[in-house]
Amino acid sequence: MSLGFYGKNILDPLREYYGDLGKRMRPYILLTMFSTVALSLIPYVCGQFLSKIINISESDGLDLDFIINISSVGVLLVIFWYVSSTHCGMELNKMALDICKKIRTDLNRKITTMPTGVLESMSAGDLTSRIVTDLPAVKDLISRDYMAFFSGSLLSLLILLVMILVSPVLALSYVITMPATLIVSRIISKKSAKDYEIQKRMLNDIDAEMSEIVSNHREIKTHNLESAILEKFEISNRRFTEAKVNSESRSGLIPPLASVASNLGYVVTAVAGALMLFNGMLDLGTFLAFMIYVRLINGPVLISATTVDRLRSEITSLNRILEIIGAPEAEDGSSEPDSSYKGKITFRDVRFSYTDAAEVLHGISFEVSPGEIVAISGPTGSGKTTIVSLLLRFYNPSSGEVLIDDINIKNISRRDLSRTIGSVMQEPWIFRGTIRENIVYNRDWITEDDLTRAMEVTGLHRLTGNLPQGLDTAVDNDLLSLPLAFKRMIAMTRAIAGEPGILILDEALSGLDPVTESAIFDGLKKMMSGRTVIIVSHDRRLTSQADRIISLNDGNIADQARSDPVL
Amino acid sequence: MPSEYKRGLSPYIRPYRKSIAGVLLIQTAGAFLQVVAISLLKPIVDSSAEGYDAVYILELGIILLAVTVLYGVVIASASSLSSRISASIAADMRRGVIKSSLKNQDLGNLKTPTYAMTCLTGDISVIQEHIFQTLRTYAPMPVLLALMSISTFLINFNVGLVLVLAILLISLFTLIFSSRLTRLYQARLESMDNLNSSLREKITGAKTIRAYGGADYEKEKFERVNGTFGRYNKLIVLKSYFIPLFSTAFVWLFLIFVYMSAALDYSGRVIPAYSLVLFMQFTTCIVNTMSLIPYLCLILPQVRVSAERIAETSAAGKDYGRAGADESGDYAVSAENVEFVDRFGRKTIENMDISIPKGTVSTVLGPNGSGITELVDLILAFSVPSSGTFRVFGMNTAECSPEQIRERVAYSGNHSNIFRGNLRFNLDPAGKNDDARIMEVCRSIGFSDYIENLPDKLDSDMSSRPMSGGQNQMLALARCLLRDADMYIFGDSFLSLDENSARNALNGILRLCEGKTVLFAQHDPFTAEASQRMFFISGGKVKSYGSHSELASESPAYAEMFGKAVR
Repeated sequence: MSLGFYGKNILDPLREYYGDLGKRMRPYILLTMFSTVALSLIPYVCGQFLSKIINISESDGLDLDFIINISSVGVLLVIFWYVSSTHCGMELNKMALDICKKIRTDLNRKITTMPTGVLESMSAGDLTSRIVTDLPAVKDLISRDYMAFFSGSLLSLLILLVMILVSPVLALSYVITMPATLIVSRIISKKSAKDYEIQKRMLNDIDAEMSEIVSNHREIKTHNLESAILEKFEISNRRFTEAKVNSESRSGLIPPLASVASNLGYVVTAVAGALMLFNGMLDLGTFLAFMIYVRLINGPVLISATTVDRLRSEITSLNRILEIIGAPEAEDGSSEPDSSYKGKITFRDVRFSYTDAAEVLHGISFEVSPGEIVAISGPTGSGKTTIVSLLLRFYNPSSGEVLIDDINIKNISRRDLSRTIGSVMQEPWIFRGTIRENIVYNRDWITEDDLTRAMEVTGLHRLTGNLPQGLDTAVDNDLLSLPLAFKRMIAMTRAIAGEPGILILDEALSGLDPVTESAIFDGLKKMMSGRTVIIVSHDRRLTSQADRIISLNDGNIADQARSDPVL
Repeated sequence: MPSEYKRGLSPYIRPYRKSIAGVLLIQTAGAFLQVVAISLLKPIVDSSAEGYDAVYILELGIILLAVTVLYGVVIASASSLSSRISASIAADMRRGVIKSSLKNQDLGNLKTPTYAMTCLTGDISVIQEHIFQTLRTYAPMPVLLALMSISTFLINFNVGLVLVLAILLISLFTLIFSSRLTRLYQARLESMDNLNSSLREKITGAKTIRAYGGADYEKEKFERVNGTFGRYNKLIVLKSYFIPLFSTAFVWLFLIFVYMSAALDYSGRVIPAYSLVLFMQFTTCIVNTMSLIPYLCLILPQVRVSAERIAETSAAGKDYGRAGADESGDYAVSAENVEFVDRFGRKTIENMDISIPKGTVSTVLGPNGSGITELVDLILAFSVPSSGTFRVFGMNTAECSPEQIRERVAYSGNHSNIFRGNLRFNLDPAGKNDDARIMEVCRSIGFSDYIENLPDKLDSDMSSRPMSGGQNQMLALARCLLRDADMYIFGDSFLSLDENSARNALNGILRLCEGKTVLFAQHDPFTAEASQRMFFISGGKVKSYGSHSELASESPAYAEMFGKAVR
């Protein structure tokens, strides 16, 4: 259980992102060292007191000066120790908080810029559990437990040093018994490491279950699944409780064992001390001070032994957080800033498969001219949404190219891509904020007129007109379920308000009644005239109104027909 | 204040009264043993100091070790028991939180989606840790301090008095300071909730954020929440950093004062070495014990805040009675003069009279916003009428529990939420059907091919398996049809299916639900053809009803809707 080993390993992974934490902590560690020296001298001071008192009984007179001097020294030591330790504690805390703030910023960045495929491979519940559980653990690690372990180990080493300086022989007799404590603690903490792993996993399970209950609440109520879900939760609950009790009981054995070992050391030292006193090799005051040190060293050793357990668990949390921070960011293309695109789309021999699954697109090629309205249809699972995902560069094709205006989208900056393409996904995303914020999102150049125009096309103003706060009504995704049609309209208004060069609607109009659907579609055609529109739908009524239909079947293009106007 | 949090915690603690009393008893025994152990040191040191024979010291040492081993056994068992008690209480609390989340009709009582999650893992962990530490570490403190004070009184009355005063002063001081932190802790937890739900939101909206290039906008939004959280953290550090080490410093100062006054107080009598040494042993013990007090006091405001949050989250929803069902009627759904005002204050249902006879196949349809979604919500008892009576199978929805209604009415929307678990659980969460029945239902609607093609079939793990829109739709249908209900409602249930799959599914539905009441809330022409009765809803009222052909010829609005809907 060497310090160096732990010191190096704990903070090293952070070095890449946040600089040499170890170096920044060094002055505080040094200051803590000095103040712990002060603390460890205090029993010596008391020892001197005692020997003076005992010796007084054997001689006459009271050395008042000595007593006052030594009292002042003692008081000064205490004050110095308190001030410096508290100051160090505060500074370290502030440092840890700053780093945690930076970690949170980076977590946020990674979540918003990671490649989609990587993000999808992690479950939402697991990610949320990392934020809710692992991040606070990292904060505890940096601000408290790392230093506690260090100063605990340091203090025990210092006390040991003082003991050796005071009386090498006595120190030796004590040290002989120390390995017992260390070995036993080591064995126990090795076993509890596994317990901690299980405990962590179970806690994440509980997080995920709760997350699921929040997301699926309406579904659970609809089908009266309360008892089924409660039963499912109880499994995780029980497993976690078992794991926690196991690990706590096991690590709860350390203090009593340390106590036994410490008393063993005490007795051995007492015997050796007695022998030395008898032979005049030691004076009483030193002996008494030594007995106090033996008692004192027990505390820090115990702290380091128990902190190691906590450290282990916190290091696991740290690794889980660093997994996200170290994740790659989606590659960006470069292009002339703010270039405008006409809206010609080309797919050239594109093949694609999701991470470990079968190939979804088997080399499809098609072209969409600027200003065309093209429908992509096909049975479920044929690859329609995949085409949209590739066009929006959520993923890169396994082979083949996706081009806009004959430029490979890999060479178009994502910023330009997002400005050019407006999209509405199958699952519309509403975030916590006002309806207005949900529509405008990150495009502060959208004016009130743009907003009104977009709403007239989608008909959103009819829904929001009756709301007491209109567009400034607060909405949220999870807590109170908005009707799907409402969400779809907001998402569509969002897409149109930016006047994109290419508009993609992925099943965006399904769920609306035929009259509303036609009205919106007509409005869209007018607004997007001259610009490209891609509609993904299997609804023939809708697709028949497009200029051209691309029919997909099982990842291949079955047909590219001009739509029949008679229909 | 303490009484509030006790009220929140006491129902959970009450069942464990006996075990807690047992632990306290064991800890008291342990405290006595510890004092005995310290007292044994007196003859050891005494004999060593006077250079007695080593054999005697060894004998004493063995007795000391025996006492220590006994003490070790005592605290090990106390530790294990404390762990078990605190873990069980925590498990009960978790169950309470989950139960109430499941019981509530919606999650509107939660401030943020992650509120309950933070409660579950953060707050409950704080309470568990607190109960564990109280039972394990803090419980013997009062006994120890009392015994030590008594011994100190025996040595010197004045010193004993000052010691007791010191204990009281330190406790008071830290209690007062920590109570001022309560509000800060509350604010900090609230802002942590906001932080967590903000991050979680970005996970669900990952695709939209990337499509709109919103990473920078999200960063700005996030930094505001991040900053607030960081500020509260800093404030807590600044207001509390001087507390933890305070009592240690105070006690050391006090002890130096004691030694000084003891030395000055000396009036020529012989003070035996052992009583002074004993006093020194006690003092180190006192220092170790009293240094725990500030930590205890610092954690109290956190515990208070957490207990409040847990109490809030486990507040049960409204308890409805159970109404008898009136089976004599002919109607599955009957409503007279029903009005409904939604949470935005809009009257979405106005003077609605509707009667759906048992055993019929009907369709409700109309323009968006006409009140169809609200009608379905009323049938499923997700809302109750603002005026008028709404009956489902004779039960008044305003007077009976929603669970009662949903036992008999099954609903399928256009999207199914996936639960963690395998496909079987997702299809039949309540576990009421065997595999044969599950496959039979899936075959009827055309879902069985998908299942057969999975490597693990019904045991496939759904948490990492993305489904296409259509497959997801099929899951929703199957989940609904596998319920043994008297009425089945399908709302936009064919949206993600192409025409062939939809017709196939419809046939399956009609076959499986023969004799039951079926209601479609969607715009398909073929469900209209299959319905015996159509209800055309507009402006929150039933405008007209009859068969498809009747309405098509009588109502121009209806015809317009279907005119556009012809495929």
